[in-house]
Amino acid sequence: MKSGLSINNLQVSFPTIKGLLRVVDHISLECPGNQTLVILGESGCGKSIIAKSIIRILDPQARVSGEIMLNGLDLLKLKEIQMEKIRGTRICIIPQNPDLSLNPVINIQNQLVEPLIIHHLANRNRARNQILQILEKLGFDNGKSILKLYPHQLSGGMKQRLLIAAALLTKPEVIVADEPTKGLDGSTREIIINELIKANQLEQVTSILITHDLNLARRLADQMAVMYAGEIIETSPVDSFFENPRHPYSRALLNSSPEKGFHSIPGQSPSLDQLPGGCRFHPRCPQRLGFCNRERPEIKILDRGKVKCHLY
Amino acid sequence: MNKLLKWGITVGLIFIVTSLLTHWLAPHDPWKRFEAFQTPSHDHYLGTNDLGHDILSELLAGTKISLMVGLIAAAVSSSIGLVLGLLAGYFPCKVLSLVQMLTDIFLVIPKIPVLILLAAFIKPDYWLTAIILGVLWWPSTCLVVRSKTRQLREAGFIESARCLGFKHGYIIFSEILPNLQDVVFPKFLINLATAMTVEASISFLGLGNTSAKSWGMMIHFAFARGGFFNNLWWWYLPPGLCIVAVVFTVLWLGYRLEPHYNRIQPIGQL
Repeated sequence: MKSGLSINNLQVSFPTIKGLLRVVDHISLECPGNQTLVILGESGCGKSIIAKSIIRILDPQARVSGEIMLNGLDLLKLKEIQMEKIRGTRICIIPQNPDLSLNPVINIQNQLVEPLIIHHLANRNRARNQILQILEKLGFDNGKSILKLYPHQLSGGMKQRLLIAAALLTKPEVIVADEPTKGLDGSTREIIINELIKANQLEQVTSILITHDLNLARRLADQMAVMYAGEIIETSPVDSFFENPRHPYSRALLNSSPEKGFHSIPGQSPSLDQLPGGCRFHPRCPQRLGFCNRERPEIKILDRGKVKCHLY
Repeated sequence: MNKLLKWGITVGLIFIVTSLLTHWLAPHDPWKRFEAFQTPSHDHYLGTNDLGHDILSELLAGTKISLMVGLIAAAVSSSIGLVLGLLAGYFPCKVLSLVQMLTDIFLVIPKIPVLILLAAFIKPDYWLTAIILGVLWWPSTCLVVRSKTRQLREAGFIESARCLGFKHGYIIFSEILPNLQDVVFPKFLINLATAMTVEASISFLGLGNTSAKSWGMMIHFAFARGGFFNNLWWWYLPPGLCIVAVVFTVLWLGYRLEPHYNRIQPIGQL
């Protein structure tokens, strides 16, 4: 049993000409061990920033406060040298854009072998065998020939699958997947989802999945967290989220899926430097109350999950 | 491979092999004295100079020195440019301003006058000349390497490498360096060509080592000892043609190899 990852009061802001831009605003999340937490949200709401904060590769200008606890260890308090040992061994990231995430002049084998050798987990020969094992488990039938290829000889889907394999290679405790299905076509997306499910079963990892893909979320999640304009507005277990979403935004999101008839949410999500007062969702909310534009809602703990809305 | 590229490589190889086998190829010892000012004959294919040295043997002996000066100067300048460019490109805030300043200073230095000035103070020696040339000619390599490195450090695979816990030093050497060969290798060849021309120029001005045989020195003596006035073309033409041939070959290879290396580099963020 591996312990989970918890984020308490994480706040990330960037200095800009207009002043401090708060991109992630007092977020608390809990991901129990061996479960999958899905962070769902529109583009630009700060999802990727959470991923980068966990692995600590934000721009040095960013101001980060709060704590990110991994097994009793506060990642935000670690020195860079200690963090280098954790990256790639205890926490792995599956990057957003597979086309850009492999070095174009190094072949696949050498790229996959690198993390194992750097962290002194295996020598070159054993590393190669481990890679072949993982590739086989993930359903590659021609692992050996793939290892000799260069990134430009592979398709986007194939690269993403290899990056998933790379993330599993060092047997991390936590995997952070930042929109793993972005920019892939339907059938490839299906393969990737299956691969991620397989990966979760295979290695017993705690995973944090960042996406705006409802279908992906439904199939992989144990816990759901919905993010809107830098805030977490609802967290709940996956079954109760899809059956009975609490927050009006969650409901609207589910209604905008094709199965429910493409009901789009009116308006646009606010830019982070011009946030509305009160509840950040109130200008677009179909159920807003009179004081929603003045008072910010507090997090309310319900029987299953938490919600940040005046309705409860 | 291109047909013209093959020719370039062949000519380059001929010069390199010649420089290595001078000792066996030369018909005479370049320092042995015969009758002076002989015209080309069966015994001396390119005649003899004012001191009675066999010109063909001199020419072959010069190949080695001219090529070595070029190679050493190019190696020195490319290494300095590569190291400084990598550091400045990869760690922008810390080293950047300093290296940028240094590059600008070296770019405004008028190089040939500086060499002439230095020649007045130091012992004329080809190895020293080569190193000085290298030290003066690094800024252009540095500029290219720096901008390329800055581009690459923002690429997705570098961020992935950092996510995997790779150290900065490791990222520079095994992720960025292999991606730089397409800018560094042509730059090396261009530096080589430049160094050879400059070496020939300063030798021609009489600032080289008078006790060694180099192509520039041969032209210098042909000019100073009446070879030009008396139209002894076999004395001054061969070294001139050799310089032109080598420089053209090297530049040609550099230009041919550049598109060969030119792949589309991904630039972007995670």
